[in-house]
Amino acid sequence: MKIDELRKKLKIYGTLDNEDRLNILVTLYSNPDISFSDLARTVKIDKPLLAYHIGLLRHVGLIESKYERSSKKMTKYRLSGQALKILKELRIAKKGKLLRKTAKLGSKAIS
Amino acid sequence: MTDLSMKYKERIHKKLLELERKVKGSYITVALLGAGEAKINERRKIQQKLEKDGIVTLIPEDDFPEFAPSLFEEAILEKADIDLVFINVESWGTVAEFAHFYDKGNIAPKLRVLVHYYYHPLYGTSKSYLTDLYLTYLAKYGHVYAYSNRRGMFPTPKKIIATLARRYRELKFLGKI
Repeated sequence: MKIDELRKKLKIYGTLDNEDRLNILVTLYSNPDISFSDLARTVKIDKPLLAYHIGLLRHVGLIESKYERSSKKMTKYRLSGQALKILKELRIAKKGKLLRKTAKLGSKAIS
Repeated sequence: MTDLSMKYKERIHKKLLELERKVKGSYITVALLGAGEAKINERRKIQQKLEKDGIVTLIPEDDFPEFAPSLFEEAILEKADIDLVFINVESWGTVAEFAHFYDKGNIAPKLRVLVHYYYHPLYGTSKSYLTDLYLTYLAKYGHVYAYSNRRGMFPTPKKIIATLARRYRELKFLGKI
């Protein structure tokens, strides 16, 4: 693997080496297009800190956000293709589905 | 923590250590605070340079656009796992940020303050209140760096940030931080 690729992976795995962020990722896998408030309720993290984790996950390319103007304006979050690849690499997800045991973790806090 | 989440965490951590050994540097996260719109491109250039080196570099205006900096920056800098916060004091906004953070126990040790040499308490001639505040911070925490926008007696902000971030990453890799 080239050094640039290794550094990119270092940033991704370093970002994931945090319980809260891993929990956010697993939650987004089970609940794509979730709003910020719903995500905060599910993962039970303070909103300012959650904003930081989301910003960081988005920065390294693991999540994507979409601003929607339907009944009310809100930003929704989902995993990127890169994140799905990583979850498979980590054997947390397989063939587009979370492993059964992991899915249970995604619906509540991982710890 | 459940056994399963422990297992995932261990898997990720193991992979991270393997990558750190290969690139001979640790994972670190830095934030760049500075003047808004007018000089943000300068910070973006520094960000590009550090990212290329494998250092996660956050610019609040770009990475957290949904949230007002004055409402959440303090909470983030205090609780989040950011290693270093570089603040280039070059506008009234950054003066306010520095004045707010300079003596906060959980934030101040992460701060690396960049000031134009004219305002630096040791190298400059300014007698302003802000220069006096820099001296207090310097005496208590160190880390007040004089810069010049042109190459000369003092390094540029880009040079200071890149040099310090790289060395910090090496120190962390060697387990000295």
